[in-house]
Amino acid sequence: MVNIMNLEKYLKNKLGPSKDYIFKKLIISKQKVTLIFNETLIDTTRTNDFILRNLLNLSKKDLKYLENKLPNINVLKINNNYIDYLTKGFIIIITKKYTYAVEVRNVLDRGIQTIESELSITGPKDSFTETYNINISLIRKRIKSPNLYAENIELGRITKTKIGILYMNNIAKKEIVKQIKDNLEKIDIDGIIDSSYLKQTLECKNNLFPTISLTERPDKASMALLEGKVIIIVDMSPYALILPSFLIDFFHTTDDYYQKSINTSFIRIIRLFAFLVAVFTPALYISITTRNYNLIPLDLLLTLKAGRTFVPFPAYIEALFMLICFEILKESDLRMSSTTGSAVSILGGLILGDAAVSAGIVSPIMIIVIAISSIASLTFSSIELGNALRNYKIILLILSTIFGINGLLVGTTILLYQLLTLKVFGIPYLNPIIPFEKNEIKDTIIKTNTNNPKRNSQLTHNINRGKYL
Amino acid sequence: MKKILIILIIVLELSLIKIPKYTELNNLAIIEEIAIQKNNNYYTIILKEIIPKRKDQGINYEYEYYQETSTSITKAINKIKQKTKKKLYLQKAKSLITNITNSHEIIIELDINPSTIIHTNNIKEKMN
Repeated sequence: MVNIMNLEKYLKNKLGPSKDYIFKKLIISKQKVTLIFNETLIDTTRTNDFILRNLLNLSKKDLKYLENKLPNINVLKINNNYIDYLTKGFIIIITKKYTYAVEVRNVLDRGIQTIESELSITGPKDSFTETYNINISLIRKRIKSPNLYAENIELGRITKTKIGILYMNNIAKKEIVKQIKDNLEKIDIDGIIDSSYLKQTLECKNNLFPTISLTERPDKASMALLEGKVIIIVDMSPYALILPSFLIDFFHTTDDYYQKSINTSFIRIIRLFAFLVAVFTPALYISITTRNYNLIPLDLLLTLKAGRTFVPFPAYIEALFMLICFEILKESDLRMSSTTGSAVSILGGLILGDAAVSAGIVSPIMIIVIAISSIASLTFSSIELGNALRNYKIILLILSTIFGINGLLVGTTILLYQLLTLKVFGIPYLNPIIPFEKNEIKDTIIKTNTNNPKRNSQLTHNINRGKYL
Repeated sequence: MKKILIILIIVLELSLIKIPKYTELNNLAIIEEIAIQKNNNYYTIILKEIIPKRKDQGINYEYEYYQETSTSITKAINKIKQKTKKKLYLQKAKSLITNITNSHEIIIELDINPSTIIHTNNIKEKMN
């Protein structure tokens, strides 16, 4: 513990040459008072109005009871962790006998903005921001229950990032919550800059499929809480983590619950079809055009052959080349602003594609195959699932090049093996289909109007759910 | 145990169905018609390859004919293979023109399933 007499010297020494740490000396009622703060982290208006103005009017006696004399909510008498308080936007006030920390942190916030990555036609448009408290409040506004627990931990040796673990105490399975907390506490890392850092450490290893969803939608996070899932919110990250997440969760969107069941079912079947198209189309095309021609009718075979008339490369090279080109286009489009991005898309997608076909470098059918497969993977808002689909697509492409349709069967077996053996916090990834979960099956691919009185027993304890009217 | 089972399934998948040889479509001669004439224990085979060509508007079909004579059908086919340097794809042949009465044997030997079988003594005349 540092002696209060030497505290100023100690802090100056600790903080080094940084010029944003201000040491301000005041004389109040003939007593020396030192204020130490970081000018970039504090709100100067609040400091001037509520601290300095009040401090200057205090008597010598009042300086002993600053926590009762200043109008701020957080005025703490402290005797250690001075640097922590300073870096969190507190002002350290050193009087003759005591040291206080007063919270006057600057709100560095872009405000609640509209959703960018998980667009919906209907439903709320607000999204999470980088501010921890705003994110919690966006959920609390939706779930006005004391059973919504928001626990805090600090992670990151250097960054000391605030992590919020949210769950419904009366719904979520305690074992899962405990397991998540234990996993988080095991993390020993220098810094947590974004929620994705935690995602990497919490996610199941040795599997390409995502087991944690990222969302910037407070409504989706709230829905997940009501289903018995756990939400992790990281300070300075606009994305919340939903865990555990199963394969079927990536087929669902919030919009599904804002429209008629029949429309939801239809669109979910389309998503399932898109999933299959995204993974299997290029591999199937390669196997039927290089080894297994007997599987397709003559007319189609002739059309495929006509498409490849002037193409000098083998089909698999062409497919890999096209996949890489699409990834380059996607990547450049993501990193560009929307105005430049659309120009890149037009230039890359239309002009280059047309020129490549005219020059005879690629066949038009290959462009169709790769485009339909890549667009199908964009049906899912989860980037992680999109990446998993891309990886399996390449694995299947290589296998079908080497073994034809047999390779495709081998790849499918590996894919099924991965899906069937993957467990998320002890729950099978294909839940509620395998193992069959009768409480949840009516809200998987087909959504029925009938209400499920119970929740997913794997996530909760068969607690009754509220019914629709 | 699970891993052993999955390896077994993979091995079965790779071994149960024969893996066809890799051939690019550009190196595949799709045969539309097969004509076989037997004269004095010599077989003359004419194969009609259909070559689809991409045009600005749709597809244009061109044809190429290959003819060889040998003591057996297989030998004649092999001669054509050597000549064309392409893989002959006979399985989708639409018609078989021959002067051999027992065309069933040819169908089995070539592993084809033509929708039309024409018996004639002048095979060249009957080819489109």
